[in-house]
Amino acid sequence: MDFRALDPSQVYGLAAAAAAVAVLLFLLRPRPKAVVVPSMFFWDQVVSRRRDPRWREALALVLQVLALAAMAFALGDPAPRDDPGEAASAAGRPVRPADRVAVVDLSPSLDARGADGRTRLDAVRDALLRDVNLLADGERLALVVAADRGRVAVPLTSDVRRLALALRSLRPGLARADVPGALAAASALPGLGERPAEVRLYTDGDAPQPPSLPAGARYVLHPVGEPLDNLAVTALDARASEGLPAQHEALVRVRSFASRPAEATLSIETAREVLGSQRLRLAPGETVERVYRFFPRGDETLEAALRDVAFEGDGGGDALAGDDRAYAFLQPLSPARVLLISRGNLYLEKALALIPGLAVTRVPAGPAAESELAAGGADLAFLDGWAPGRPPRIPSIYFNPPPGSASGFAVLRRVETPVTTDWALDHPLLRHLMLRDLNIALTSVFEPRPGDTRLVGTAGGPIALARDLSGTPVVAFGFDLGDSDLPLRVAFPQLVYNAVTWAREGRAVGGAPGRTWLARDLVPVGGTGAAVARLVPWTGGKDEAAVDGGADGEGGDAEAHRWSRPRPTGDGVARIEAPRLGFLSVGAGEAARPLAVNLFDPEESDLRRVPVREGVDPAAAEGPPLPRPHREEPVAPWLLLSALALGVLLVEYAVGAR
Amino acid sequence: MAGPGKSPPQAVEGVPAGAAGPGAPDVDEWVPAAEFLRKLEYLRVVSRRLHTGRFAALQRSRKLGSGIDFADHRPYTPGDDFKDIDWNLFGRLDRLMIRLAEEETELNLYLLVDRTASMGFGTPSKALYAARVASALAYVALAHLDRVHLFPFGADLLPPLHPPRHKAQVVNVYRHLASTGVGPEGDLAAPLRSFAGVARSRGVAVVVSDFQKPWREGIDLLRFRRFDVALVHVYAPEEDPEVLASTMRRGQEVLIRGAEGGRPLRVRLGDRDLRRYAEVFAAHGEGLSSYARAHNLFYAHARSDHPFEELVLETFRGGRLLG
Repeated sequence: MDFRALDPSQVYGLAAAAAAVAVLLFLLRPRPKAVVVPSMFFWDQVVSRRRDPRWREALALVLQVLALAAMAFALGDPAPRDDPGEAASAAGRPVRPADRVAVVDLSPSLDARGADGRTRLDAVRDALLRDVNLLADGERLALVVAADRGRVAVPLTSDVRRLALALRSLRPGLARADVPGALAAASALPGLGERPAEVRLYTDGDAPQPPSLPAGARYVLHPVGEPLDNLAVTALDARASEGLPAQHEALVRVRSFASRPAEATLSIETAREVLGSQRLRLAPGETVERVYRFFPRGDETLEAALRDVAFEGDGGGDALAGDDRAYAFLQPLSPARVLLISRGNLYLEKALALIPGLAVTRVPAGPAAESELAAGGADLAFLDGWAPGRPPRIPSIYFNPPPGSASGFAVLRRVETPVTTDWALDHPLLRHLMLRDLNIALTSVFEPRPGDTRLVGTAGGPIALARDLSGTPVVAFGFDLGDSDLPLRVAFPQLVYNAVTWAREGRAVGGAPGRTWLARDLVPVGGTGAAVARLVPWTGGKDEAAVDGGADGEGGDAEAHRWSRPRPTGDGVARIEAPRLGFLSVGAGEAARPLAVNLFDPEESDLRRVPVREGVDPAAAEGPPLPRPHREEPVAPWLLLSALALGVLLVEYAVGAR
Repeated sequence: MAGPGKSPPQAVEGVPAGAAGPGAPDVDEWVPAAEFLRKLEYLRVVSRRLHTGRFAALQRSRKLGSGIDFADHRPYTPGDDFKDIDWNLFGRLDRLMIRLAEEETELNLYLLVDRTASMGFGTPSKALYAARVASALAYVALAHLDRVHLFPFGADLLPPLHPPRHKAQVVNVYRHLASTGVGPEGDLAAPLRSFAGVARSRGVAVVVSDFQKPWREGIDLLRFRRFDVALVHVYAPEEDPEVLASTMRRGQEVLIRGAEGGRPLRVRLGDRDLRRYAEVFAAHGEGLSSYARAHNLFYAHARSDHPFEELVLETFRGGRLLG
């Protein structure tokens, strides 16, 4: 008999120690209290048919030892010893290959948990550990992992301890598994093909093309896992919202990869607080998008989390935890500022005062206005009956620019009570406005230039034009507000609001502190691959993250360098895989580049697919069956032993003189 | 036998102090009060049968002779004492008739005291209690010039004592019991059979024992030999079911070992066992009592911590063992 959890010596030692303790306790058991009676005349009649309890004690001791031994054996997780060659021959199958190569898919979906709480990778690990424990004399096993690239973890060896250690250190990655690369690495293993060999691929994805193996080696595909239901956050992004006051606008997309209706609580959080949560119901395959707007509070990060996921029916939980959270950086919002250059215009002042979150600077026409315009600190300037000496460098709106001024808008004539004929209502400035019955006492008619947008026209020419001056949008209205009934209309505040939002377009936000990155994409770290780089948790600009120079990652602490060895790619930029999801930083100091790493990979989140055996080598059908996880065995020996121990303990309780 | 180093206790009116032998009731422990002894002197041993003694005493007997109580007349024959002629009858009938009276003779009191190991049990021990009972009965008998025969027994008879007819001999009775060691355990048949072989005259046979042994055959033998049998059943407080139930912890495993030897029993005592013990104990006493009633025997049972004077003055008198 073999043991999967403990060495046989440990099992036998444990059983012997337990038996020794039981015997010791038996020897040290409290002796009965001696009671002296005058004669046994009465007591012989009282307990005449009772047997001496010593035989019961002896029998109880034997039963205790038996139960303890059974428990010790159960702890060892026994497996019946089977001769692979003999068993295979008896079944008419080929003899088990002497060399076996296990290629393990380490894609994120291997972290999916089944109803029993064990991940797919756990099942693979258990199966391989069992295979390792059953390794016969002369047999060798190799371990190749398919992470961001295929690599040989353990070459062909009979060292059971090394193999077990390597198997226990396996962790699912974040990048898509390079299965073809891993199969290629397996094919190129030294010594493969010298004896009958087998390359087994453990994957929950689609079957790749069978590798070209050396003669004498065969390829076997072992599908892993079973269909699971999963909900995932497939998108999270944040931007500044349109309009005023300035707000953040976040888009969250949640998708159901389940075959049953599901419910979950979607929570939007910053590092400091929960902005809101909402209970979602999703039909199978449904995608739900939610947009959240919120005022800036100085936060730099945003997270979306799915919690309390429940599926209809048994209500089982979410299978993959990695895609239940998403991360994004928030762009800092700049306040809206308007420069009002006028000799006094209550219409404009009141209309601007209606807009929330707007900072208005009133400047009288003159040199001070010139300097304010030159400073360029405002999003928009209203120039009321005045024009600067040179064109402004910020978006500006003229009302009744003086003819012949440096505004650049040439005046053809002055017209009294013009009849407006056309309006460019699709222009952002005139959105939602109706100016058909606009009454104007006196206005200038402009001479349009090529590229100008005619906003309001009359039969004699445009009285409002929009122009782009070297990237700076400028609008001119040919009439004074006081010479028209425009300020008296309900459209006027909307016109002013449109003007501010139109001017802030593209200027509302500063640069984001970091960018969103997909876990399946390797992060460029620069260099040629000779440096060892690492991603560290982002600490809001105070991190001590570094790009370490030095060794190329060979040797040393394998776990520490596992994620830090840059991988040269075709564009000459070295890249590395993110070690985890969340906010990370690569580089140090000023050169630090924060990243919000998300899974956002439907291929990994969709766990409903049943693995298929496409592309299996025909010989695979004749191969040994997949070592199944223990839970799938009809009746596990340890379970039988535990039941035996329980039964023996019950008998012992009945037999013991208690 | 006086033990070495023992100081003699205070003597009380004809009952000098003594000492006990090893394993026997300590004679020092029993110094009866003078008042109690005076009360005993007013009592006498009552036999339910008439016995014929060899010497004149104060007990009625079957012999017709020089007693006081009239019994019968018979014709005069030469040689009869003239003082026995009933002259009043001669005057009426003109015939010489001899007046016959019941002769008062001595009574043989046989004290059969159990000295087996089981009698050494209890606080106070049953042996001590039995010795006091036997001594008190002996005192009553000796005070009335009756003949006392003390037969301690174990598996068989132990050395007997036949004290002279004087009440001061009660001390020797007690000392004899005290000096008699504890004998091996056995049933009552063997010692009582031996007793029947050596007891030449019938009389009152008082068996003082805990009867925790086969007893019926031995008592039957005494009855067959026409002894007036009295049974005094002594038990220790520790044997009382109520006391036992209050001292035993339920569920406790105990090793029951008999004072007289034998195979010990290892049991875990429960309520059921204690109830069964009470039943066996009660059935044992009831068996003795029923037997005594069926055969017109005196029977008394007493716990060894029961006031001894009360047993003698009340129970024995009430049961007509003493009158």
